[in-house]
Amino acid sequence: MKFDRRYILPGLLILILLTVAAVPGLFAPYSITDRDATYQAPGPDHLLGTDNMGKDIFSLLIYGARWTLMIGFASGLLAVFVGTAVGLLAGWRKGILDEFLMGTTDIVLILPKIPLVIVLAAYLGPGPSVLIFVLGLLSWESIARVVRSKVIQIRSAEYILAARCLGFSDVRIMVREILPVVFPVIVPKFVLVTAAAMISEASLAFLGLSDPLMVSWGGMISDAFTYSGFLRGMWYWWLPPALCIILGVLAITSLAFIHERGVREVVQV
Amino acid sequence: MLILEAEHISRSYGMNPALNDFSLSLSSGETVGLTGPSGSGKSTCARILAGLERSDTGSVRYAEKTLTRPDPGIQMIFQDPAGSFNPVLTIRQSLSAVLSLRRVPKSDHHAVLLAEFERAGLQTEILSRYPDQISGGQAQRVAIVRGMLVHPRVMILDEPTSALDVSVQAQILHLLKDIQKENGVAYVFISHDPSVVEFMADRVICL
Amino acid sequence: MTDMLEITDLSVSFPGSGGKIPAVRDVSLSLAHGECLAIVGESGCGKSVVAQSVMGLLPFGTEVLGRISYQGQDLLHLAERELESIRGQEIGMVFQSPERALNPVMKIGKQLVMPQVIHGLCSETDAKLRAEGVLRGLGLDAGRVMDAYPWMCSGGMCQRIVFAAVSLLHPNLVIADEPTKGLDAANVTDLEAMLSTVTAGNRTGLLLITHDMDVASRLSNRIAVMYCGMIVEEGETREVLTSPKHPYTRGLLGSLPKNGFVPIPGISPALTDLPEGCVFHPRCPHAGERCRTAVPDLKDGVRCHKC
Repeated sequence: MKFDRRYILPGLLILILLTVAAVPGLFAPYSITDRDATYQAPGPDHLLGTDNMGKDIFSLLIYGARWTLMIGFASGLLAVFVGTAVGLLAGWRKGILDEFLMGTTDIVLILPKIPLVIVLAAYLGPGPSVLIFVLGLLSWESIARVVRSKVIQIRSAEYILAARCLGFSDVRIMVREILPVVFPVIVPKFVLVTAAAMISEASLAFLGLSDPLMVSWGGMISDAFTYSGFLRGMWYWWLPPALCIILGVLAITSLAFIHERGVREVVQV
Repeated sequence: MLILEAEHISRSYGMNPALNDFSLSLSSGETVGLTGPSGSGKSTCARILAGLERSDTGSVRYAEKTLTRPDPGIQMIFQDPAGSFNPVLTIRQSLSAVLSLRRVPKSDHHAVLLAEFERAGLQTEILSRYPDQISGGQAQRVAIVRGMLVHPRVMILDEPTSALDVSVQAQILHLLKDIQKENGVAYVFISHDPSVVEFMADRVICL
Repeated sequence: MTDMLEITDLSVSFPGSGGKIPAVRDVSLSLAHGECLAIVGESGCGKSVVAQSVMGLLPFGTEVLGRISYQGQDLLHLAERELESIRGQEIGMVFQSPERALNPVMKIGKQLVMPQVIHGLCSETDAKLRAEGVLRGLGLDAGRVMDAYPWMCSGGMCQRIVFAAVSLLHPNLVIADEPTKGLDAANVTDLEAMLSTVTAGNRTGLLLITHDMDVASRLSNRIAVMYCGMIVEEGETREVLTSPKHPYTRGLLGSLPKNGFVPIPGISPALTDLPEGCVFHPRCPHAGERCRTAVPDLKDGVRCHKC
């Protein structure tokens, strides 16, 4: 297969973000517990100045990548896992199981996401695992729908009939025959859910519904807002994390779109 | 010896009857031909006989047991040769999966496939290709090889040569006859082409 | 009678990962008004590529050499705009699987009327009347069919509609690409009857692409047999059928139901891996030393060292 050049820019961006998130200590000049004079302007010691606690903003930005990306990808994975399982089962089994699963899917679909997340985050406490579960378990429904319709489309294909005649078990047919064919439609969905989770995390953090000990980009904007970063005109406090969120989400979604287009081209040939 | 028996099976989709009171008995090693114009229920009949679909009334008995689900003893060959293989798997992956199912040790797969390909007149290069990279005639031979890997006693052939060239059709028909002579497998041969059915079948049922 | 279509030394190759894939090599053919020429061969022999070359429908990046002259115009060097006016009006095409040749979301009436209007043959009202006339002539309930969508029609009906769409434009040349593949016996007979009317007026030529010698024998005046991109035998239909010279032609005839389904040994080689010398020699019962080394010329309508 020929390499698609359009992958380079978003791919490179994500690679940088992932590297930074994996080993923040290598890139950050200070640790997140180091403190200096508060409210410093950018200078040679502190590239982006310091915040209300005297922490280096550039270092916070780098450590923030870890939580933002981790919450995004983990809830994306969780959503894909649940959505794919539900879609496969519902599409393959039909009948009552299908109606039950699709009914559940519809309920999840009509839940008002953000208010629910706010309520749950407030009640269950703001830990990262809670966020991952809440965001993940509220965004699998579109994946389930896509997977199910694809399964229904191919369940009567001749190669599936042949596999049934040969004596393959239902589980084997779902996992080994259907899943690889459905996979191309799952990948862009995974990426989109991940991007959406990153945005949700930022929104929640901005509303103050995140772990105060957890550095994330949304949390940084929230701090800048709460501790008069906006009033003091400290754009270097809130703009960099905002840009990081936008770039990260853009890179991830454009990967999904490019991938989707590529798949369509292949299918049309 | 009677191997497959269908008694008074009927099937309708919604209000449309597809098959009405069909009966058939098939003995080992014989070929029963099934012919009729398009829309006469040939494919429905094939799927019911293979256990892929239930009939509304009547029953299918295979090896003296009522058939409720597909049985490896009954294999089916379809009209669209490339469509009979998973498009994202290579031919080798598709066939290896069948051998694993039969608990043939992984180290023997290659040798078994080589022998089977040799018998069916297929080149081994095909193993590493994807279904859309081989010709219709090759795909149909591979489909037949795959079906025979599980040693079926009945093979249901649903228009196996309708999508193929006349010259390739002749080769496939002879391959099927050779396999039958060797293994005594029974065929239900379905085709809209009366001359093909006449060539293959001992008895013919018109739908 | 002059030839309306003349193909001279046509070679077509597609770009492939391991170098060029020669799909058609040195094909020369001609077709006169009112004549039916059948190109017969197995799938992959290049017969459809010849048809696509004439229609200018080859995919981008294909290398085409030679000359295709249609009524004095060289089709290979026409601009896309000029080709568009030739397609349909001058050269009509009947594809395999009629259901897929019709647009599923457009009423049949519109699909029959629009081409006539676009090609400027007549006004919309006249076009509608003509379409209804042709449909009635083919034994269809014109009023109902014009108002129906393709999926409401049976395969046999779609076939007649596609044929009506082609004949409404009065093309000089009709190309039928595997029109009978996958059809059941009744529909084949039906289609053959329709196609035989094409050449009846002695005006229109028919280029029939098929894998089935039987179909070719019933419709064509002349037959060209192709194998691996080359013409291996060409001649009057009666002569090719009664005294086939090339071993491959004999093999094709032997594969027919009425001749007992005698298969040709071996299989066609891949186009990327063609044998040296005569392309047919690995499967030929009479192959000798020269067949393995030298490509035979097309002489007296046969490309073979031994006949």
